[in-house]
Amino acid sequence: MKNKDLNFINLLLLAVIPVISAFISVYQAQFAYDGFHWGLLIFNAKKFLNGEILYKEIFVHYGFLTTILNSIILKISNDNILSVFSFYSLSYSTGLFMIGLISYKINNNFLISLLTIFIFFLLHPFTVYPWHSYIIFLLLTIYIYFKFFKNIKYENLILLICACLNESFIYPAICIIIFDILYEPIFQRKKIHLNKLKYNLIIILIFFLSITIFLLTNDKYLYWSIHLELPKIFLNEIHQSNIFKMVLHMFYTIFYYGIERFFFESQWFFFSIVILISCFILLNNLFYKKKFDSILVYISFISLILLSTSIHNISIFKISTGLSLGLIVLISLTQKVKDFYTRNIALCLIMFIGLISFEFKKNNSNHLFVKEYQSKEFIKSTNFNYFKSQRWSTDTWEHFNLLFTKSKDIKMKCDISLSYNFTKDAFYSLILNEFFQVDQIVPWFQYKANHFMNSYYYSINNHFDPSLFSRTIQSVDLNNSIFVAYKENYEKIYWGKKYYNFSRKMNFIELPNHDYIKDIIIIYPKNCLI
Amino acid sequence: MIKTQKEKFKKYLLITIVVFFSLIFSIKFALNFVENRITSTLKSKKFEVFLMNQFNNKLESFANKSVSESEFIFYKDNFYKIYKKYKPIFDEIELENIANQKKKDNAEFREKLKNIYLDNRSMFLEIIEDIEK
Repeated sequence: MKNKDLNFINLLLLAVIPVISAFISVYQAQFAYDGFHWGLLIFNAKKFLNGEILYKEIFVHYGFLTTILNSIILKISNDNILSVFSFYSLSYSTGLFMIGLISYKINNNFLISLLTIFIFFLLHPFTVYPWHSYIIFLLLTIYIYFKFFKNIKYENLILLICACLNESFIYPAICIIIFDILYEPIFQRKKIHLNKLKYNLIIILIFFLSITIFLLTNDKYLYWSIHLELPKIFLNEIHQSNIFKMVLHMFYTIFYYGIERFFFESQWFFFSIVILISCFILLNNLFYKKKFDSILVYISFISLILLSTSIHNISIFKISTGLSLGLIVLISLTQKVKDFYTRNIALCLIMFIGLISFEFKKNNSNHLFVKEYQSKEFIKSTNFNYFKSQRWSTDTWEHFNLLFTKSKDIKMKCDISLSYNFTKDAFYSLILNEFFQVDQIVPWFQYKANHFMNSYYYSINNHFDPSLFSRTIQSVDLNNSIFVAYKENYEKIYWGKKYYNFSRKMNFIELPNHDYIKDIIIIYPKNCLI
Repeated sequence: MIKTQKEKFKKYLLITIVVFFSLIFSIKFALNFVENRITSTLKSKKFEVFLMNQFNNKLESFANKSVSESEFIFYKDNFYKIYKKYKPIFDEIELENIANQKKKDNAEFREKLKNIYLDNRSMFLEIIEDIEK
């Protein structure tokens, strides 16, 4: 592919949308309250910084590298959770920029590269979670760029790094490497490239050797094997389905929403088109003589294989950082149409359908949208190091302040060393951790009567921390623990079929409700007089 | 269709697409704007203060107005129903309060117990009989 490199001004123009995306993402994140996702990440990162062992004492939800990365950012930023989020926003916006570069290299057209970034931005404008998906998105764009536009032998190593960020990415990574090795024999009817085979074997060998050493230190492999069962837990215990049903359900959802939500969430329409176009490209190159460029075939394959990472959670943010890479193919194919009007009709359709997917309100693509009252009324507080950049309502700060002061009182006046968080909000674990040891591997557990998520919390905790409930009862008997839980848990909390009543030995203090969570109490021993 | 006709058709199609989607985008933008305004207003502290003021005003006017005969019957009927329905809840709260009271020797506590005893004398006697059996 011969084309000129972009000049500085064009590069700057290409960076405009990604920079907007990053800035607004961070702005929105100041107002975000997500104790479940953010709390989990920060709690794990903090534990890692405190010297606890991955897998054994830390629940590694996706990949160990994510935890290590988060802890490094947390350390550098002096425990500021917004900095962790900012890193993910920066990754996503750099990914968008890379998309523009790739598009330019393929089409040799600056406007088309701008349009490609713009469409990606419209479908998923801002980062909504500090989640590994955004880093993997960036790494995949770097992978594609290096593979086709830079002469690098070991680019497949990037895929294996992705597998350290999300361990279930190992299957797509291996599939892409096998595809890379077999691409020429299968699609171009050429002999297998022995050098390529050699380089890939070296990469895989080095990778598995490093991983083996990593897992052997501190006997991590014993606990890592338990974490390997996480997808099975999701499948059997939480979704109560099998893989075939889940895959079928995913395709059904994408295509059904593509039609049903065309005017409200046209992202699904694009996802459907990308699946169809990617399949068409692969089949065409497999069976017909007139073939598309190898980069389009690669991107089609990668985007289809990335669908596997969204099976358990079919959401716009997940698919936008995976399958949507195929949009590059869609736009490039459209750009190749020779007839002026047909080409422009197709490009206009892409742009306008993309445009109607963008909304100026809270939606599934941007649930952190900041409402006017939030920007006017929400304030910062310097009382908590973790949340010093957050802007929350006065109710939220009062809620946390009371938890903080009561925890401090209990710590000073009573001989208590352990704490437990029986809510879905891991921010409590972070605050409790300031005074007591949080005696949980997973920082949240929730039981609410007839709640559909009960099985999720129970399955995860029962699998990774099976003795949690017995430890809880023991610590209550010893008057050695405090709990943050829902009010209904004071007299009734279930662990599977087992049941416990705190009210016999414990008292409680109610915390005031705030915008995001209600009916929270601190449960503490009756002999602790505060 | 000859080439120029085809091109003309495509040109109109292009214009139609641009107009149609621009219209949809504008409508969506307008709706989003209105929706944001409404939700922002409803959730704001200002609105909460406004509601409280309104409530206080209504309460004041309700307290000061004279009650006609028909209104008297209406309020009596409805307050009676409310009283019957919700009194047991308040009774239970009071009982729980008494049971949880830490200082059981003060005069206020004795007065409360006395009132409960006088209201439910026969029941208390039955309970005493049961215990003594």
